[in-house]
Amino acid sequence: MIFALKRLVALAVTLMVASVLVFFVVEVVPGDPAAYMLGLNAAPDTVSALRSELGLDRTGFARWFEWISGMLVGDFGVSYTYRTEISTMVLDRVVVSLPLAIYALLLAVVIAFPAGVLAASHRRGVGDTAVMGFTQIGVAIPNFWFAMLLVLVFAIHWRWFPSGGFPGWSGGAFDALKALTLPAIALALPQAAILARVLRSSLLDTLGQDYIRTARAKGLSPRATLWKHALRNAMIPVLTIVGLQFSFLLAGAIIIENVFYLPGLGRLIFQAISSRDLVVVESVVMLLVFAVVVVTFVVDLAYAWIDPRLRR
Amino acid sequence: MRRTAAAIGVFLVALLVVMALLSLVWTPYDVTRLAIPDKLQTPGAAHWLGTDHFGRDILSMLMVGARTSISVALIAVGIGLGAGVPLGLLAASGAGGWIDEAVMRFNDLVFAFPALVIAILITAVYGPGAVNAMIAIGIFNVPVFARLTRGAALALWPREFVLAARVAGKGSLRISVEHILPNLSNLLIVQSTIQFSLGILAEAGLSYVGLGAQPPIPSWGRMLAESQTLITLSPHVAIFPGLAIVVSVLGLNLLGDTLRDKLDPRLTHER
Amino acid sequence: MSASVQGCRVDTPLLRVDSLSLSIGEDAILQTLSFQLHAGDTLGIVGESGSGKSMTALAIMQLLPVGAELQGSIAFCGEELVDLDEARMQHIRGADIGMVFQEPMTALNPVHTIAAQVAESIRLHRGLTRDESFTEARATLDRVGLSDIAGDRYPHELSGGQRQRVVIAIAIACRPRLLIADEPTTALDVTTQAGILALLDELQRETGMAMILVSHDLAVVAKTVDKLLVMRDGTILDSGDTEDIFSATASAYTRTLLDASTWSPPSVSRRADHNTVLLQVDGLVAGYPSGRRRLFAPRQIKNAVDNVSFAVHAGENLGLVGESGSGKSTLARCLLGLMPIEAGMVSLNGRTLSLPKRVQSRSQQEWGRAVRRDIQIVFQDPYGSFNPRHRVERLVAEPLHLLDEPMTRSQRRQRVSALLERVGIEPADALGRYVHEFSGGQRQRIALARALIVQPSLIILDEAVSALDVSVRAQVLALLAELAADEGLAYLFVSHDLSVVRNVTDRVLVMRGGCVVESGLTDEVLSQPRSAYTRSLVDAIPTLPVLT
Repeated sequence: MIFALKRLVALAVTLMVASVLVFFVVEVVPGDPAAYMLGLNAAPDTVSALRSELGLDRTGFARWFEWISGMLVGDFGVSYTYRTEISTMVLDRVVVSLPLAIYALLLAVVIAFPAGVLAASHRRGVGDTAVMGFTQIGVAIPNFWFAMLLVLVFAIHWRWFPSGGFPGWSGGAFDALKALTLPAIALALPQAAILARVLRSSLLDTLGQDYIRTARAKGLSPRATLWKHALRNAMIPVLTIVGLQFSFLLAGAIIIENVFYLPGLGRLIFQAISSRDLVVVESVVMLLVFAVVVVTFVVDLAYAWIDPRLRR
Repeated sequence: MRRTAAAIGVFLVALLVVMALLSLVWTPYDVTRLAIPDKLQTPGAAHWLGTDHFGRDILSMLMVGARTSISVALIAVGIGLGAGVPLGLLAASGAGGWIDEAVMRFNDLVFAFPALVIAILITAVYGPGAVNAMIAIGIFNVPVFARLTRGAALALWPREFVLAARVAGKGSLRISVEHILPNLSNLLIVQSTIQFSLGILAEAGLSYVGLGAQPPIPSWGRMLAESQTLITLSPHVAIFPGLAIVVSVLGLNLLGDTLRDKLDPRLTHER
Repeated sequence: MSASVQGCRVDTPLLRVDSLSLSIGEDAILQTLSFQLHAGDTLGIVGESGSGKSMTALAIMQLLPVGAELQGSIAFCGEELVDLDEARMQHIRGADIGMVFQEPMTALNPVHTIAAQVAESIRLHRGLTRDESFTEARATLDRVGLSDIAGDRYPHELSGGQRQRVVIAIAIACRPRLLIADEPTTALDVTTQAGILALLDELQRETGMAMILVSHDLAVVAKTVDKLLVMRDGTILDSGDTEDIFSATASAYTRTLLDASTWSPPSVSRRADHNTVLLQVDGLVAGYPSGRRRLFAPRQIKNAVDNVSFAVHAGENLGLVGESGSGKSTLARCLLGLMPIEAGMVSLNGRTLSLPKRVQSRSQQEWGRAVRRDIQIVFQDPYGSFNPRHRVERLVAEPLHLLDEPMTRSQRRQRVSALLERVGIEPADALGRYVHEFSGGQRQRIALARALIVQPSLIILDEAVSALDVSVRAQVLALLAELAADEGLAYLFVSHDLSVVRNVTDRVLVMRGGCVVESGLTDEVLSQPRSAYTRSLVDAIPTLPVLT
């Protein structure tokens, strides 16, 4: 309990400092945010109108405070370009990004686990060599290029899947999932390669520990030793990577969303950056930071669940 | 098996470096000259890897693009090493002190940001280009090296040879340089090759969305972006730049694994 | 479970090892080993590191590292174990043969409770339900002296001795007919060691199981076993009844081992000049901050050294004895300014030194320079105490940093060479080499050269011979005695090993929980201890039968 509380406090502090940093980078460093948002050819009175709309005449601290207290109650502000509530825009995008991230992560885990366990339990064998070879290539493939190849083969050549776009969930889950399948595969494969390698090396480390020998001396078979004694101990580095990957998949799908023209969070932020809509940029970045920090917190709790030594 | 992997790694990295260096003095064709009549030729005798939609020779562009990739990744690793290693050493030498606390919190903070988003933000706010790409990628290398260095250095500080150096009257700065750093070099070399290959991937991603090196400097990522609409018509335009990335990253990773085995940083492997 | 080996015939030996050879790659680890063991026998296997004693134990368990090649025969109750089907072997492991390992800190799975780890073995071989197996596990834990430890505790909540008891509980849970204990007490303190040895002895008598006790220490096994096997370089040098081995029939090597365990250097007490006080320590208090530092709470200090006073006289050999956690190493580190000191006074050669409160402070720097020219140290680990990236010349010369004027390169080389020669290392050969090219004993000699280079008057030997094999240890101790006689050096001999301290020190301090519980002339303290704690330490020393 105390452990969880401590982590919660750390989480709050990280979020606080991160918000200052985001605010600083977006609103203070580039100079006048209003002039930046409107570009070089803006008329002076348009700029000053925007200045007063954004409340730029007030101190930076007051603006930061208003922004952050607004976000705490779910008020993310209004997009300058689209003139809509940012919270509704975000909500529209989350229903694409979150399922995509979960889909990709599940795929990655489902592929990586058997591969990692197989490789570790038959070290230097045929299975190990094959897994290591495939993962070596998987790690090296840029996911957006892999996505292009998938489109070429499965969407254009064989027409099994749409090559892009998202029909929405209202038309049924099947079509929606179908539209997310190629992007999810493109995201998942390189992640699966990383995960399988981490699982393998962590398992091999664990299998070299003294307590594995103790378990074997009890008369446990190598397979039972792996499942009952090694796997749980090997999970800490694996969990770390899974946590990082989930955060990455949530926000890092930007490029993949571009390839498949998916209306996700990544595309929202990318469009906001291109159209210089700073209010959207800072709010969405902050939201993503929040997601990363929460995932890290959950992973920390999972560590303690796995390893009693960490329950302090 | 291990030998083969090592040989492949060395060969691929050598190929990458030779291509990049050769492009400084010679390329089969001029990459800035447009030759629309020759556009979208399939690989053949005149153009080994074919031409793109402007009639530029793809092999020549890949060679010059290798230079962009290498320089961006190299400088990004340099930023990570240059800032991260001193921070890590400092944090470990005053372990438990406020410096350590500050460095570690800074690390957590940077890790809390989605790297790609921030890189895009930086390059968008401060202008797209190779230099800003280097900085954006480099920033995320800093906590990686700082954390690695700190962890390994912390494992070394209680070691008796460090105590012996303290008994010999040496201060913590001197010990960090004379005793800690040399014992971390293997670990740092291995991590550098990993970060280098990640840097190549990141640069490709940034220039794919138009935020890396700007035209007319060729870059692999932008070649892929430009080829996307042509992929049904002329797949080779999309396939070769992608292969170049895969081959480079694969080579570097294999080289990294080989170095890890050869240099065996087990001495400092207590994380 | 009928699969376990049924009682073997009375005339069949329980274990019969016949011309057993083991090689890993090019290295021959064991060469045509033969011995046998009957039901209820106790056998000690003794040898220095690399003798193959642990590999013999692992070969019997069929738990050899990957790539090990085994030839010959190991028959257990007449059943051949070499190349035995793995599934069949799993029925024998844990059920008929139990094993206890050297390192209790890592031998237990950190994520399972201790009861679960004992119960697992029971469930596996005795076909009990989960509840029955936990009841049985509880009984086994009680049996090994853990009746006051709850079964749902995790290994990290237990001390080293308690963990070793859990490992023993796992090994005996299915009442095996053979128990193999591989250096079961090497990682433990002497009093804990005595407890574990007594437990093994008791269990063996009670159940009538046979036992193989593997150790590097003749004295540890001598009391417990009936038969003895002395191994060196993968072969058996001596074997027979323990009493016979201790009589004159043993080989020359076994005699050296015996002599080394009971070795006594020329007495150095005559040299000690009790009128000249070299180092005077009064009321020293030092400690580690306990737990994490909080922002608003004052720092909690746990005193590792609490109000310790003593003096070292010129040319004296002072022993500092205690078990792990007694504060002896902390005290040694405080004297060198490697740790902050909370209170107390220290004077060196009659000069009182200001005390460092913080390790990185200015006063610490001054303290360090003043003290370290007169006090140097040799550490325990002959492998870890040198930077693997530096050559011997640079390593030995390192403390010259303490001198006010720098030396020229040739002066430095000359000095390093002279010292290497003094400690018995050929300088021409050694200067340009890295330490990993030297053996453990040679490295401790090099460490000694490094300590001597600033001509100190006191050298702290922090468990300096503990990691060495007995025969090498004897040579290093002889060198220490010789140096003390020639240079008029004083030693502060920090050790957990009373048998060594007894032989080489003039006076002794016994520490426990950060305090000095007893001090005086070594002979008097150890022959007539006044405190109960010292008595328990003395009683726990494993002793060899008196040589004839």
